[in-house]
Amino acid sequence: MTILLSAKDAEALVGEMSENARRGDKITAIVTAALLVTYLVWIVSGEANTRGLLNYERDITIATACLVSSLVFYLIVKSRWYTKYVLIGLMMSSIFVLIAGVDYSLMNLVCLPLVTCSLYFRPRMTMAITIIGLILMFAGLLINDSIRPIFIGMYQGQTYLDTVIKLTWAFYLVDATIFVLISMVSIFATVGGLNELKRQVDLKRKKADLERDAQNAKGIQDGLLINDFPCREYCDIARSFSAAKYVGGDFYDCFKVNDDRLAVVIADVSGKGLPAAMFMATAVTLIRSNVHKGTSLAKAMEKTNRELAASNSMKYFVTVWIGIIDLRTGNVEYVDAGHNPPFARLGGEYTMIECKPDFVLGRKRKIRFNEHYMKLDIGDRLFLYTDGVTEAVADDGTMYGEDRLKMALNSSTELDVKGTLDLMNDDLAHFVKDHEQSDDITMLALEYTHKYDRHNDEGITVPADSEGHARMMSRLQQVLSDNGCSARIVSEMQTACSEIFANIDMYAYKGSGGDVHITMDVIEGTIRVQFSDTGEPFNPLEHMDPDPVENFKNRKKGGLGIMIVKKICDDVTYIRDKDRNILTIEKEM
Amino acid sequence: MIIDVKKENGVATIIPKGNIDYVTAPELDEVVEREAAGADSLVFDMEEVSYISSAGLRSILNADELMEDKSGIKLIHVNKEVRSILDMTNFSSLLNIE
Repeated sequence: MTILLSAKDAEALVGEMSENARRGDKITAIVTAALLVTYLVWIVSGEANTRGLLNYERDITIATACLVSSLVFYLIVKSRWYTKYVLIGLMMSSIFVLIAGVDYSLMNLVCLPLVTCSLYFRPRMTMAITIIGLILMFAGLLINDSIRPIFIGMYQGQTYLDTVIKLTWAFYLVDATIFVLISMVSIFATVGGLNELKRQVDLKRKKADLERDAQNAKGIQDGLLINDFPCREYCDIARSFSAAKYVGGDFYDCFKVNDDRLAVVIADVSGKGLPAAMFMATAVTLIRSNVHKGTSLAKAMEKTNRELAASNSMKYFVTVWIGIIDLRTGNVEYVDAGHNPPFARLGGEYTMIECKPDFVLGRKRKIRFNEHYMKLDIGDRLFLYTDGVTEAVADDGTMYGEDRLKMALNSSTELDVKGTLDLMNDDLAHFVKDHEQSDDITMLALEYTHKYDRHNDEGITVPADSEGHARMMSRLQQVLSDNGCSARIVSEMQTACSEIFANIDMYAYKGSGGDVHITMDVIEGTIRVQFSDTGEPFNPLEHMDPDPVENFKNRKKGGLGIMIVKKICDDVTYIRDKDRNILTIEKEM
Repeated sequence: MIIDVKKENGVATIIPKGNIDYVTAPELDEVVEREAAGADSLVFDMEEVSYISSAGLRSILNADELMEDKSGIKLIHVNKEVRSILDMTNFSSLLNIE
């Protein structure tokens, strides 16, 4: 098993190794202490003495000094990079002294430093100890023999070489073989330990990466999910969002399309993690910017889809249900791009809003979306959710499903929207029990409480001529100064209104006269003027000229007037409503 | 709209007071055509113009064309409101404004 490690991982590995070395040092010190205790017992019991060894006091003293100094060394310097070498060196020295000076049968004590050194996961160090150990064993045996001849009585007439061969056969080979076997096992354990350590570092890093990724993705998601809902005077809205451990990519949104229209969105992005969260952010932004008045909802979604599909290298997609509620009438137009059908409570019970869903957003560029319609009365409700609800799984593998959802919803009739969601969450929790949540669970409940009833200007109807123009101007002046507008705004609005009036007179009625109905409303710091006439269909926005000034100079009739209007106003929309041209301009004051 | 005219050394200064829009622009055109015939250059004093619409801009461009072979036209005392329309339409770079 080979694990390739980057520089960063190598650093982490070094960290792990030094941590491991600290543990190794501790154990080595403990083994040394145990060895020391064994010696002391041996000496105190008098057993060592009975062997009638030569110079035993000196040798025991040296060995004890080695062991004591290694313990003292460990306690003083604690763990440094060289601690292990010093500790094992001292341990081996004391063992050598014992083999050489006390008893060759202590030879196999060299296994102790070998085994302790395998704790450091350093294969080369283990190999070195093996070789040094083999040499020490042999040297110890020879020295021991020269002090205390083992083959007394067998020496006569034999050369030193013969003695060495005899000693080797009789005492060394078996112990050395056992030692080498233990050494091989130690080296094997060392290599295995090292690889295990590398694998752990690798796993830790991967887990950290995954968690950081999830954290960032969650941050993006949290940032997108709003808490303050608009249009509270007309709708009670509650939401519930419970994220899966690794983000599932749900989002909801709620924004004003204009003063009296509210968009509600629920969506689910395929894929998880940071790239999916970025895709979600793009989708939210595109929907918010594309859905505005003057464009049909289906067209807005088509545009959103095109833009999403154009830059979607990861092949994500998003299912969306979006509805726009007309707060004046309760009419809802909606588009379903492959999302779970919401439930609506229209008067009686909750029922599923079924329609033929369109394709999801983000994958195919050329998709048509269809608008569907429904109507909310005061007290009616919408319940939007993602598949995290219906596909919540219980321990026995069954899914929550739409039937349970419908039943739970219909048991909540006495509750407000917030209470409904609480009940739903309780029911879900009761259903799944301890089963781990694998997808985001998102719900949005809305009750249409009040009609948009702001008083609107009844307006004036004037003839499309100079007299009508003058009446419009004086009324505009009145309305603007009543609302404390600056001179600049007054002048700009006068210019814009004059341009539109001129267009109606000259192009819609072609100078032959007719009536113009004009309303002027000031809503939340924005002046809105609406012109309605029964002239020929004429959309001035289609007569925009790319370079009106140039054409103007060349005496062509250009769209300079409408260009001025567009520049002055924040919003200009045109609709043809039956036999009427309706042009609305808005400007923030 | 009231239009005053002052003549001095071949320079006719046209002083429109009020709004120049599609209703009043023809009056301005009339004055411009009359004065352009007898003057070397035309000056528009815009101080008391409260707003000018595209029709008014057209009249001024008319005047510019009529005076092309003479000493041209000039706008003076352009107030903030008129200025913003001229900037918006890029007329400020086409016209001689003082």
